[in-house]
Amino acid sequence: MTEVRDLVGTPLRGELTRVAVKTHATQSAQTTMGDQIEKIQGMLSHITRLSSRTNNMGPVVPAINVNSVEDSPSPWTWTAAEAVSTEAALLPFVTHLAVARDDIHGLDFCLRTDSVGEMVNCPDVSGRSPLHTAAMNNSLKCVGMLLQKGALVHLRDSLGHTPLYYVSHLKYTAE
Amino acid sequence: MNYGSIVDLLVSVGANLGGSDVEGGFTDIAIKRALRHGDERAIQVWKRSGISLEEKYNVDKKNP
Repeated sequence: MTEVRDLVGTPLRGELTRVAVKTHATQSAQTTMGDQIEKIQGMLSHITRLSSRTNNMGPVVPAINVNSVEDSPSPWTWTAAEAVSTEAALLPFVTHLAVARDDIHGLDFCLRTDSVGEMVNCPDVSGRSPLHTAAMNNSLKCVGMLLQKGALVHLRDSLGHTPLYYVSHLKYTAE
Repeated sequence: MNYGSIVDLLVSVGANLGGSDVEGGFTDIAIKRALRHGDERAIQVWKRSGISLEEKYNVDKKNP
């Protein structure tokens, strides 16, 4: 069975496949790619942890190894642009998910992973910042951490409201 | 519930209610409802968020 899988995974026109030449530039690019893949693995692990219904894992983050796909018959061909765009797509989602669950470990990971430094104020599809999400979900610990990291309190979402309005209003409607 | 604590935290770093929160009438509607229903906890939160409730309450009493 393993032999069959290997045969299926072998490109039929392998002779036309460009042989990768390991130059110094390629090796440095691989190092960068390794870092990016590590970041994406971390983000996927946090998504798995934060998306669990019970969320009883606490700070324990399940290990997800993206590198293992290299052994598969159809390896995931990465480029730096793909890795960056994947990171850019996942990171705001994980950030908002973490603050909605008041998960300070997940938020800390997102803020450390963010190389640009704009994740602390990144809007979601409704124009809500992580501070909006944290305030609306009663996430006191994450509100504190976001403010320490420089979250802006005057940002308004697409409806024109600030986090303070939502938390004041939700107090009225939620209790 | 931590809503009051979050309000205090936001206000302590300079957050305030303004713009469309107030001018759009959203805050006013919520406060009037809180006053009408006698929701003390909600009224306290609105006070902590910087709204001068006494003034608004008087206005409401004069012009119900």
